[in-house]
Amino acid sequence: MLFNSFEFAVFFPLVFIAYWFLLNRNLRLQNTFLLVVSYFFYGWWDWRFVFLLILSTLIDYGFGLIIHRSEKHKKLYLWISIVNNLAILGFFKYYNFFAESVQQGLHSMGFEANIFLLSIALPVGISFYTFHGMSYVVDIYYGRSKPITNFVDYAVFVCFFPLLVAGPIERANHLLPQVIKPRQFNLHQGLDGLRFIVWGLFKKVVIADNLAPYVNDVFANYTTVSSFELVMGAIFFAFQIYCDFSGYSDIAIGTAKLLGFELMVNFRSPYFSRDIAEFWRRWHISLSSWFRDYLYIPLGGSKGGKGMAVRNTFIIFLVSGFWHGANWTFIAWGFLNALFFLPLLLGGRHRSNLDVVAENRMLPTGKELLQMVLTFLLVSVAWIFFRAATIGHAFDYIGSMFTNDFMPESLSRFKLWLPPVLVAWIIAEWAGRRTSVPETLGTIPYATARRLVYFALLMLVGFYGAFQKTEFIYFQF
Amino acid sequence: MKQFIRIFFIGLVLFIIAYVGTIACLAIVVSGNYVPNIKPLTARYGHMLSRLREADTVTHADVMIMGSSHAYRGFDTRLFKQYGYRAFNLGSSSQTPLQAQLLLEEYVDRMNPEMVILEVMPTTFANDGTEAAVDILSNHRIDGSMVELTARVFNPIVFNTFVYSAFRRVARPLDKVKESPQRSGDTYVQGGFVATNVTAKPDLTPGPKERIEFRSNQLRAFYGILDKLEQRGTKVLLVYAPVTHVWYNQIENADEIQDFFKTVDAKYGVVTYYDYSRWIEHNEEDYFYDQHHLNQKGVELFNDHFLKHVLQRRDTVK
Repeated sequence: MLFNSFEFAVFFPLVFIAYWFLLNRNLRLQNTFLLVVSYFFYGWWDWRFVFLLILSTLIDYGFGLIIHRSEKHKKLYLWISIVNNLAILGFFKYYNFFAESVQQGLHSMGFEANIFLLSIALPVGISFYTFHGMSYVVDIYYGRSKPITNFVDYAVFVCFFPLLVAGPIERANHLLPQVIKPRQFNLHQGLDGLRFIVWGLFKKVVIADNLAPYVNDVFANYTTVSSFELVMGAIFFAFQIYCDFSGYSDIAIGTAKLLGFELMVNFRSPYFSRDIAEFWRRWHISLSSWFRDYLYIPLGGSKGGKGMAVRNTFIIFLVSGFWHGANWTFIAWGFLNALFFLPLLLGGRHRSNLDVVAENRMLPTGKELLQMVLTFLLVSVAWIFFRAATIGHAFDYIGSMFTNDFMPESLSRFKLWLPPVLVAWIIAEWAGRRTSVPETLGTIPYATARRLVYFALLMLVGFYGAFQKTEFIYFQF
Repeated sequence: MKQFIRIFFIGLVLFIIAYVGTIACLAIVVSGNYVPNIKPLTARYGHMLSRLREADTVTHADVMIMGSSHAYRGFDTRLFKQYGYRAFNLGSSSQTPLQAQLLLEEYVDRMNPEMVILEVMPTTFANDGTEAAVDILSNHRIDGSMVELTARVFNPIVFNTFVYSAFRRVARPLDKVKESPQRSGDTYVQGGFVATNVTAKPDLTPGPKERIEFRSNQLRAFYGILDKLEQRGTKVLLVYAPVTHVWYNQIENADEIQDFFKTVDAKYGVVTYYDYSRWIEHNEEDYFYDQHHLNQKGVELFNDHFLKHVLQRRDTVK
């Protein structure tokens, strides 16, 4: 079920009514209900994968208890649990990639091998719920959190439908206390939730889904389109993926707020970053911090000097790339980001921009503007690898930017109403860079003015939104 | 919670008023063509306005033809007349079973046909029906059936076009709209057919293979049509109109689709399936103007065969 679908528009109000009006007095019933509707939400794509989700949940729930109770074999159980999680992920997501890579490797050496390939669909959100489970058992192992004895509560933590298929990747010590604590409806939280949903929907259907056909067209026909269009294709993909993914996250956060939950912030105006390090503190925060806490730091972080920091940085970027998908393009994307990060790390400047750009000013300085533009361009170059079908495609795309004719023959690919909307969106993002755009909207002083903004956003959704049932890009991960 | 509900509903009502009001202003004051999700197609391609106007005046037809552009551009009512049949073509652009069912409900009792030709283009079964819905909404009077059509294909484009059309009728009633029988190579012919004088050769370069998945709501509507016609005792001729081999071969599950229509033929006592999909075997470029639309020469060849060997002989029709 997609957040931007008619089905969800029917599903969620029914869940909201039952959750607050019928089950309000009983936490156990509320949680059981949330679990059932989460399975229903997930099963809407393919009910068979609900069983995989239950299996994954059961394994981590069980190992959480075992690790906590065990005195001698904690580490062994932790590793069994991690191997289990990675085995599920590896089987469904990476088996074909490895099999094909081995086959191609052998072929290039003159050997022919017929390795069995699986023809199975990738379960939606598998990377997200597997990481949920892994963080839970690792936190128990390190004593950062205690196991939960009630399976339903734990299962709600893993399967809570707003975050089930594309995050944010929650932590046990943040979400579980909210699951086990009685929840009261809060007016401000509810209104905030609506604002997040409206803003997320606007970003998804008005911006991301309207940019998608242009981007798809340009990436498919990169040999024949003009350099200008190739540059715009790369920039628009940067906008598309941000609006698509952050739009999803905003709807997830808003939906959760309406049910009384606060989810992690996943994006903080990443394209207003002054360097790549800042970008990675603002982009897909729940995943970046997951890798920092569960991979970078256990690997030693930067404690072993520059050499170890560089090694670990490359490891987390490459793993992060591979997490996104079983394709060399994602690994190349991760590698490029690590490469862009390297000068900052070596120069000790990777933590120099911890504040918000133009914190107490309306506009950035010339230097800040230049830094933001440069960072955005670097990020956009890396996105070309992320979007391309193969690494060769990405290099050819970049090459064509310099060899194709500069100006397009016509602007027929381009939706002329889109640039003013993009400008308005960028202004709104800038205004909301300190907290978030939805929260900033909530601070507009007059109720009528606020309403006008919400109406304008919803009208843009209704009049300009693309409704071809496009899935969110991050569902494939 | 009470306050939240109050704020939410007041906001919702105000928004609906503002939203509908904006569409009304667009409909009355300016054209809605600049808004991508409002698609007023009054008196545009396909001649739906002329067809529906004429349909309202027809009191009887021996043969009623339903389907997509392959129907209204593929069955020439003049040729039917030559063979002694009064035919009316109710096809419309991208018409899916959802729209065909509504049009059938509206006109079948009045026209009281002996048989219905239902052109079955597989892609229409996989289509959500938006294009066909806005075509009909833009050219039909706004009544209960249009409300039903909007509800059946509920999405912002259809809803907006419905509201737009309702207000547009006030500003400019449909009977004031003139539609020329000729438009960009097309000529509207009495009986609902649209003749084309396009003589361009089709591009027969194969495209990527695609699987066509029938939508469950389209299948329900399709069976609804057949049930209704079976109840009436009206013969149904399911026709897969001619398409080029290149186009046909792009469908990954073409055999499955053929089997489906054959099963329908076997299931219903009044239904006979005719597969003309690859009927034109040679010199396709002489008979098609694109990969799946016949030119006038192709229409004449196909209709001649269909009329002689199907309608005239009747022995193949159940």
